[in-house]
Amino acid sequence: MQRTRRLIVALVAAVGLCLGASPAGAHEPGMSAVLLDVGDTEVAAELQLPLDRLEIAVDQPLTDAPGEVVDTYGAMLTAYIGDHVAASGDDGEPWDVSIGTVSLSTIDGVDHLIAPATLTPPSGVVGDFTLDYDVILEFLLSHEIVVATQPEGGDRVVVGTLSHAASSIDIEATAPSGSVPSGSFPSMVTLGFDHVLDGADHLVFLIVLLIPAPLLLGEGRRWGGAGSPGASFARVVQVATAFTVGHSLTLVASAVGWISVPSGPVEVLVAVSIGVGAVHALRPIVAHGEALIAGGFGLIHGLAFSGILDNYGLGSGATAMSLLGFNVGVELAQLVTIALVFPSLYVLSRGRGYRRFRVGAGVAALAISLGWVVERVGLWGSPFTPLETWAVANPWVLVGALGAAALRSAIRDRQTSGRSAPEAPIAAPVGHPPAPPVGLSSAPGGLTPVGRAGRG
Amino acid sequence: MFGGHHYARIMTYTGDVATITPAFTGVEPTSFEVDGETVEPLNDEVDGIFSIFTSLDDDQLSSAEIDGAFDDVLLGPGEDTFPDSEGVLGSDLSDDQKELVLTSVRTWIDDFDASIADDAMATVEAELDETSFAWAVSTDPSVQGAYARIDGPSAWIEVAIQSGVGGADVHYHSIYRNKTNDYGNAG
Repeated sequence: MQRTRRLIVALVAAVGLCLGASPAGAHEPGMSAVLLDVGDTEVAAELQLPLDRLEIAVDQPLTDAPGEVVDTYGAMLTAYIGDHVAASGDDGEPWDVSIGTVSLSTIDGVDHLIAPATLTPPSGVVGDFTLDYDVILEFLLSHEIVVATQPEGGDRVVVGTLSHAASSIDIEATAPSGSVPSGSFPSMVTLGFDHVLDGADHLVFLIVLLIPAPLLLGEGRRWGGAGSPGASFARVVQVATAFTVGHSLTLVASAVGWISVPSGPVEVLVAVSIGVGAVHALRPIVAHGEALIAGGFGLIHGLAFSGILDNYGLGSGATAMSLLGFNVGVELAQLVTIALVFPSLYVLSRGRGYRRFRVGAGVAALAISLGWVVERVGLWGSPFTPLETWAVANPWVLVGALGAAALRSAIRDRQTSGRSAPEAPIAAPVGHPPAPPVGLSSAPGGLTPVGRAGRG
Repeated sequence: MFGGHHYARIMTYTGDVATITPAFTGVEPTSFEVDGETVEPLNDEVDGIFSIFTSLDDDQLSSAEIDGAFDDVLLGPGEDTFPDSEGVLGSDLSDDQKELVLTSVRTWIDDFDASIADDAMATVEAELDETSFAWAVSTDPSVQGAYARIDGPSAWIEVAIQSGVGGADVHYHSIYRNKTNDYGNAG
């Protein structure tokens, strides 16, 4: 379906371009281009402005020395562009528009000024919006601007042309996966499933809560050794159930219209929830409070899910069936994740390297959550975004790496237990001096020379 | 419909109704020789329309000026939204100036057979008082960017002086359209 849709859009665009070309083949005028990368929280735009047209509008001899344009006129041009770009959401609320550092580039042999722009909705979540744009056009009345969406690394799809006849255009915010659900049950299951797997935040939250699940509680607010398989499995079920109950409650409540929370703070709280889960993985906040954390912050994640539905115009007034479908999709994604990750975690937790793994993963999750908080508060971009993009694109590498680590741990354990067993992490180390650092479990010296001896 | 790079005519005949627009004419170079004779295909059209504006007094000239610039005709191919009328009205022109207008418009309309052109001219004359005249950048057709427009209830004529591409200083683009009967839509 998606492929077909793309094809149709491309065909329409191609026909549009043919019609736009003169029947007499008159000169293709130097058009501007606006390329939009419509993200979840902001729209990254690239404005391509032909220098010879821009100089007419700003009445400065830009083409005399193109190489000096940025140094000489950069500030003036940035301000001029900023005055002629605006965006607003369906609610009419104006978006924040910031123009980045302009540069010079040659496109099809013609000098262009390239201006990056970031359009940010006050709500923190990108929905359908209207772009008001008359850079150059405000003075050069015969100017035309082609507007296209182009996700990073994706195909360019022309969505319209701005001219004297219309200097604003409505842009639809499409799903990150590119497909627009119809609201039918199967499409909603897919949407829920894809949403969880497409963005890393819900998964990181879930996984970070699974990490301590196979462990016993140690002394002095620390994690202890491995617990029984039954207890471990029970806790996983508790975490998954609590998370489900939490996010289902708020998802339904906001879909029915009982509660309405702006998505900006919700997204920040989702990031915070990962931090809390990470701290809990390092040191138990509440004695086996994974379920409590999962349930409590599940409420927050549910609000985020409802924001997704709003993006598709399926928010308030969603049918019970489509809500159920969406939730089933979320559950399926959750179960798949648990099925892929938890067995490895369980095996790892039997080995002595688990403390290192747990602390490492906890610290990493904490750092990632801080990155997201900083990004979502709007301070600056998260340094982990490329990592997140890579991880979402290559989940099997991560699952495989975790499985391999578990396998290695299991083999090593078997070898070790054949020689000497006293360091096996069965119980908490009572009175083990000196007190180990952060959240040390019962596995002092996770990698002992003895343990490695067999692996020449 | 037939045309080339600087020439596009779309003519529609429905019964005894003829639609003669849109008609795009352009030329570069603006003057050249064929068999030893100098040919300047659009000079009458271009000189004619700009003569309207050079005849305006200072007040008329300022009220006829468009605050903006054009790098081509506005109502070119694929563009069918006519902007709000602006400029000086035909009713504010002197008789001599009106004569310049009719002479200018005739240079476009006389491209067609008299059986069509006479009707078209009669309409332009009848609508002259309600026709707006506007210019931008310069009233001198040798200046790159100079722009002239005749904007009547039905007739629409634009001339845009383009930069030279083939070595000449400037070249011409022009379009003649009929707001009430373009592409045969009133046939």
